[in-house]
Amino acid sequence: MTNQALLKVDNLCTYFKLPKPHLFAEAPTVFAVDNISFEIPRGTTFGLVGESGCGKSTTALSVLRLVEPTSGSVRLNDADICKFKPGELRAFRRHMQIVFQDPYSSMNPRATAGEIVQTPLKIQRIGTPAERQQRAAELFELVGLRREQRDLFPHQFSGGQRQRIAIARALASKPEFVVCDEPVSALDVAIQAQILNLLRRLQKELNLTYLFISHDMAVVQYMCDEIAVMYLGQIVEKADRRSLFVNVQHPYTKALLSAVPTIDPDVKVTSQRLQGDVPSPMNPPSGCRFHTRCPIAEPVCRNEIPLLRETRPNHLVACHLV
Amino acid sequence: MKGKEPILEIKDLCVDFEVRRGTVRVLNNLDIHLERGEALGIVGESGCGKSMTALSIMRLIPVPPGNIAQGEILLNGRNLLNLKEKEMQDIRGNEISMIFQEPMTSLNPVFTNGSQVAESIQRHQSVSRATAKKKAIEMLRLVGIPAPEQRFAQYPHELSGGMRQRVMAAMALSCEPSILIADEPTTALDVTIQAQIFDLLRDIQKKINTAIILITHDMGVIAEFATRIVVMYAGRKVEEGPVREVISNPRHPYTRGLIRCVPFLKKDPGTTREELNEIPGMVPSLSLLGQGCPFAMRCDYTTEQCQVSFPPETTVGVNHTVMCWHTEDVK
Repeated sequence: MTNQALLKVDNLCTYFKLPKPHLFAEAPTVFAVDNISFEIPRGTTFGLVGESGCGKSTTALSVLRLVEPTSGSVRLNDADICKFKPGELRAFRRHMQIVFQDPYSSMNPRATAGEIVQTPLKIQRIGTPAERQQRAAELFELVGLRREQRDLFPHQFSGGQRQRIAIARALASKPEFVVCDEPVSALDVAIQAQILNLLRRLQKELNLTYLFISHDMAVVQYMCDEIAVMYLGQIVEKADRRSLFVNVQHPYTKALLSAVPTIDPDVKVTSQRLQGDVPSPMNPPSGCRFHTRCPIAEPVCRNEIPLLRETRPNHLVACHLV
Repeated sequence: MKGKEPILEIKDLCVDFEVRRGTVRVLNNLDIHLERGEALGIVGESGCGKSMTALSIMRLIPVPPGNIAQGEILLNGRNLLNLKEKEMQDIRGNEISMIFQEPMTSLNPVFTNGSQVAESIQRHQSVSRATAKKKAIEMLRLVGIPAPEQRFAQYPHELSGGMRQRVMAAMALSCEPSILIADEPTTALDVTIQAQIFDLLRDIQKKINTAIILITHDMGVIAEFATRIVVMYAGRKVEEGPVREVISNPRHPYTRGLIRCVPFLKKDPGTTREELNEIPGMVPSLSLLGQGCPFAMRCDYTTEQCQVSFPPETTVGVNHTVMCWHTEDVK
């Protein structure tokens, strides 16, 4: 049951063409997501982690076709999402939903919380108005809100409560697959635990499959069963939860881990600091994209693109030097 | 109790704000001291008064609606609250300076990076424009901006977030202040950039012996950067002590909740996962607080006493104090 892949992403690329700077120039292209592949077994959580601009959110949006991928395939339950016509895609959306980062801007301020949660049902034409009302009430209780709160407007809720509404909305059409795009980044520290616990409880109860996007290594470590680290649109390391942290191999992952502040004094072994900023994805470095900031780069890194290869069971790394 | 001479002392500070429904006390009987050259971390959730504390020290609270009801803020024994605005301007950016959270919005977009750094040098030191420029470039170099001569003439939008925060740091440090207040300096930045900024602050702290007040909601950041910690809740200080001691042995239920409710990076996460500890409910509205402990309604240890009166400061270890009636139970 758990080993069967629910979502399969193969060679996904999403490029954005920018306006031409002048008439005869070539349009500059942002290589936001460049050839990434992964699978998510049913009932598990797959984490994408990386710095801002590494393409993790674009990956999430491309998987749901909220952004049109340039090439590659995304299969959910063996249905190729990239080949759907608009009408088919809309009908299929009931199986895949998303929780956005900012619970303040992802809701219509003029609709009541109950209407917001019922919107997916209305769009999918599920149930009669009375049944939808009933379903909204159930969902409110499922995510830890009171039924009566359906008549309130978003501004009457706190950030944590709004994120609960967003989760209720995502679950309304009984999806199997939910993308969580930085679901706790905008929340206060003490509220984050409530939402993370809620997401894990719902996963167990409803056998949900999550694609979990975050820039916070600690949150990803806590939530995910398998984790991929992204840098400039590509996956540089991918492994199961334990292996990634115990046998960390890619120099970028190492640097990322050593930069995370923690209260556990055992974690700090090496303090490697990356120099400079992430290069522009419009003009990514040749060869290994990380070579400009890599502490152990060699000439080969500048010229040849490293491929993801398995260095241990279920542990993939894209680096020439490990 | 105090090891070294304090450079800054906040004594019994109360700050009120006029709101539509009456008066809200945003800081309540706050006592904080800062020693020369130390790094003090102030931690708490949004709305706990961390930033208000910083703004009070800088005298940047808008009056009205704000009002400093009582207390004093002593800088080397001189009460900042009695100074005239003109005198305060000589202190801001010179003796005490501040780095704000949003490097995107705290730089002026219509002036070049360099001119904003040079401005504070010219304001506080009697130097010519050319010297100020030279010093500003030197500062930009010190904070690790590559090619500072070119960056000097560029505008803030031409820099990345991390670089902008460095420009802010250059500005704040240009007059070698004895106190630097960093209000969530890295919240908007990526972790690798955050690490660079903290390295920079640490370096500079050593070089010019600046005392730093670091305001953040991230316990991990405090653990790595600060030597002493003050935990605030709803406008009050609830626990204070050496960082290691407070983190390994928190004695206030709120501090304990705050440490346990966040997942921290572990070297080996193991195969099992415990549920995260939740602090139930949320921060109460300040206008609804009575005389009791503001944390009482979310606390596991609440008794009747907690509802009616705020606990006094209890010493529980070396320089470690807690404001809780049930310190003995929280172990």
